[in-house]
Amino acid sequence: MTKRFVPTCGSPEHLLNRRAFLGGIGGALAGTVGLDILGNPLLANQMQRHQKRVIMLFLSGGASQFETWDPKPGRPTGGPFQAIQTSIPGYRMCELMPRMASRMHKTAVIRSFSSPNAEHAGRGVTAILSGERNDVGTLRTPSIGCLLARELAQPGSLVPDHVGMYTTYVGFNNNVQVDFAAFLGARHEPIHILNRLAPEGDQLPAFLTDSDHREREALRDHLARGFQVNRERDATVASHRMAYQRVRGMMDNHRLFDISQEPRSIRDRYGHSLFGQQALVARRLVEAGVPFVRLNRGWWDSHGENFEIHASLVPDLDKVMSALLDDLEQRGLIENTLVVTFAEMGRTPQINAMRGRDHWGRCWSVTLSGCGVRGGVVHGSTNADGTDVAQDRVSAAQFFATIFRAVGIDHQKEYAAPDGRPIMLTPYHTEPVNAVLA
Amino acid sequence: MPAPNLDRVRISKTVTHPGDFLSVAREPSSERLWVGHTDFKIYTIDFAAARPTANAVFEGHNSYVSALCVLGRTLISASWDRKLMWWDIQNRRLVRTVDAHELWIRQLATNTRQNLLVTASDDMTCKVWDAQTGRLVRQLAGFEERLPRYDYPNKLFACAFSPDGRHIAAADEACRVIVWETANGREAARFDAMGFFKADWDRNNHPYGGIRCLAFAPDGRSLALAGMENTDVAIINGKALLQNFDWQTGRKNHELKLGSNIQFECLAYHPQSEWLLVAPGAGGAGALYFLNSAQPRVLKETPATMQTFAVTVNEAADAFYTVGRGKALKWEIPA
Repeated sequence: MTKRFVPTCGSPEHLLNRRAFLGGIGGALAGTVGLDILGNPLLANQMQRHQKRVIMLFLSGGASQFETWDPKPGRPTGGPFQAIQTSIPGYRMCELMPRMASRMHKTAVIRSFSSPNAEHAGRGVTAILSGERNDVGTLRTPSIGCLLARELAQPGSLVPDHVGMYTTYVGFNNNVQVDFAAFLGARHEPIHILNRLAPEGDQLPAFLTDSDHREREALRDHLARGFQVNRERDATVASHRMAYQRVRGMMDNHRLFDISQEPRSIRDRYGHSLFGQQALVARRLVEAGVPFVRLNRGWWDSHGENFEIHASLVPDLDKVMSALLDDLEQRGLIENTLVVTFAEMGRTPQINAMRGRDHWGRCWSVTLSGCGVRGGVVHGSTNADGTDVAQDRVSAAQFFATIFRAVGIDHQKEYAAPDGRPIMLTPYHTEPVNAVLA
Repeated sequence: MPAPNLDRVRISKTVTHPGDFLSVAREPSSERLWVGHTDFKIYTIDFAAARPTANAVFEGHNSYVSALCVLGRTLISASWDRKLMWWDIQNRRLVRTVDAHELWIRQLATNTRQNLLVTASDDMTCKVWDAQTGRLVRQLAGFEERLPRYDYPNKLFACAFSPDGRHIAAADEACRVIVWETANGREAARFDAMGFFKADWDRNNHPYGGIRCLAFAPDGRSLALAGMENTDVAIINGKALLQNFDWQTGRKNHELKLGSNIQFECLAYHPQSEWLLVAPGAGGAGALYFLNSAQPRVLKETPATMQTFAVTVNEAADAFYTVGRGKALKWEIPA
């Protein structure tokens, strides 16, 4: 059952129903594998204008809510940093984020996020990435990134649907925090970029010229067409051919990953940390139509010297996030691009003997900026020492429902798993946090 | 009079208090301490009392009280709130507040001969102040504001005057040491002490380390630098590290790696160089180490019983005081 699509974003350009729009041209596309919709300037322009994208800043390792969005200065749990006034009257955040403080009227912060997970890896992380759903039998719920990639993907697009960039191999190795498509299929799995700015192997080896490669591809395509005779309805065959086309598309688009194409002023604005450079790549990707990019910025695991680690990492987050939001806004992309901060957990109120903060799921902070979001909203609160939610607890399922709604996706949309079981984007009866939606 | 015997070092009095005491200053020729706390308050403890307690006296800072000194009847405090405050000890009142730095003040040292203070801050400057008037005398620069790779801010953890007051030394997160002439601010030496800094770009993508404390030897010729040799930036899990340098040549005289899962955060020389006391801060409670001042040799090791954040030694060097996590301790070194 598919529920009626209700656009949630207030901007006039979002009044056009994307699915209705796609439905209108769907007939022309049926069975035409690999047709490049973006090759038609009129359609491409309209589709690009209305395509929603999401950039998730995943603060891998667990950033401290106290040293970012929910400071408690002067409390035993507060630490040394002070709170500064933001552009939202009455809301103060950590002094380590002055740039974002002046932009909070464009961002919604949820200070009452709560999750059972307090680990970097394992079932708890799998559950939180899929909206707090534990796998039942062989059924595995896809993660938020793959669901968004699936929902926001453009048919026939030759850019990737899903890119995951990592600053550190912790969180990446052994797939402990990576997105998983499960039954959605390989197309929606992320292309991983670890510790660099571009995927490995996105350019031809030195011994192979571009014309050689195209000739090989033409031969392969000729043979594939022969193989496809009487197999037109076979999804595996179609997917196989599409994969080759997308690889070629990626190679043609390798300049997307080349930030030297950007003016120096823009590069300087993002800063020269790996995270900043990857964020600039992310902006280039969403601008080119990649619907979901996750930037895994690690590693925040500050069991020792929490304040020193946050004094290093938070200013970088502040610089990169503010530059990203400004850049998206100046390019007219912010209306259609949602920027999310998220993590696998937050950090303890208690300061341990190593001046660190440990793992903590009970109450921490997440943010939403841009597409479909009501900026300047501070939703929920924690108690005076930040040891529990004081008001308006928000679960991962509610948070994900809010993300889906912000980008115009019905969060109660239903898929059929391979065994026929229905599976919704978020669990039954999940309600989004309407207070932060535009 | 028989000399104090390190083998007999012992805790003679204990004051417990919730939270962390971060800094300490002792009124000369007395057992009265002034102690800065993570609750932003300044406490006094009179260890001459039969049952000493910590009593909050001064409030005014808006963050951790990171360093203290006593000059005559005046207490001067430095804080992560970027401010220096002058307090009248006798009348228990605030005398002066100075917005001293653009970022957190980590350390404060005094030169009583010339009535000068020096402060070290994460704005990567040291500033020399007239201790009497609070007037800025001089700003000392030379440290990089950013770490060499990936654009992280640098940190300036420690500063000290030489015993004759003619030089000021400071050390940063990247383990650069700079020594200036106090009188004119001219740079007298600069060198890099390797081993305290871990730049873990691939696994954790952030740095960790730095020289956490330093002190000139009583003869003024060498500098002791302390911190840790870390192996994982997420936790304190390395050996505590001490290095001794001839600061004028930048040559390392010796180094010592001690304990496990500890970081040295404070140190103090015996007034006549008979020993160098180093104490473990964040991490395991570890041990206090009395080291030979001139050679890499441990003279005495004794359990610290807490994470120790500051230490002060009395004039006779037969007693000293440590403050840290939940406690302030008086130690005696009987003959």
